[in-house]
Amino acid sequence: MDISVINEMKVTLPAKSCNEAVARAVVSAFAAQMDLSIVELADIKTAVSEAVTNCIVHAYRDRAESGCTIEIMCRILEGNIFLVRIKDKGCGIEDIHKAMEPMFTTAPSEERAGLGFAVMESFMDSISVHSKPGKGTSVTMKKKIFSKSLMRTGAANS
Amino acid sequence: MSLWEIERCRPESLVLDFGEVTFMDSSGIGLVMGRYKVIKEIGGRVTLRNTPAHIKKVMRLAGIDKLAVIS
Repeated sequence: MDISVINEMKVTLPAKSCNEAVARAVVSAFAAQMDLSIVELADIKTAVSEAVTNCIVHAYRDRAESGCTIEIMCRILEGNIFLVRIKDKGCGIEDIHKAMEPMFTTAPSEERAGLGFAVMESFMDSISVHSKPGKGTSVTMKKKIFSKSLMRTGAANS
Repeated sequence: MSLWEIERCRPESLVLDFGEVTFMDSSGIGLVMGRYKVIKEIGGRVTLRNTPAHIKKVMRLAGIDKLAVIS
């Protein structure tokens, strides 16, 4: 484990819709160690939900057979940074730049907003996407957590 | 309310109550936008009621606050 990693968790789940809620719950439980605010937790849950949904809806779209898995890795880094990486072995993304454009969707007929990456970018501090067509995609997001106790102290001092 | 029901009743107003919704990501935006398009076509308006703060945040990001009244 890298020196800057304070704690780490890795979970692998089958790519099923019911596991969107499971992924959110597991990541929340792990992140809860960080004394984070309700807003920060909601941001992380929403970003994770977007990434996991993308795996189910897009990455494994044409291969819904068993064996399709989503790997979720969370880390608490020094400096109160929360990191989450969501990885699949699905179809991959041909054009990452285009996929990340707000309102772009490959499934317009399904009432999809095409905002998954926009939400991830907006709710987390940073996002990096690596993808190989036919091999899979990994999305890594980071968020600096401002400790609730520090925020309370700050509020009291001001 | 399903799309079929909207087209059958042709309501002037559609109220979506989020009071019991504990979580929503952009998948929900797609649904709200879909209903908005249908209601707009028949000249109606959409209101989102009892929207929790974290859901409002997703709605605002998607620009839903410019299309519907969010309370």
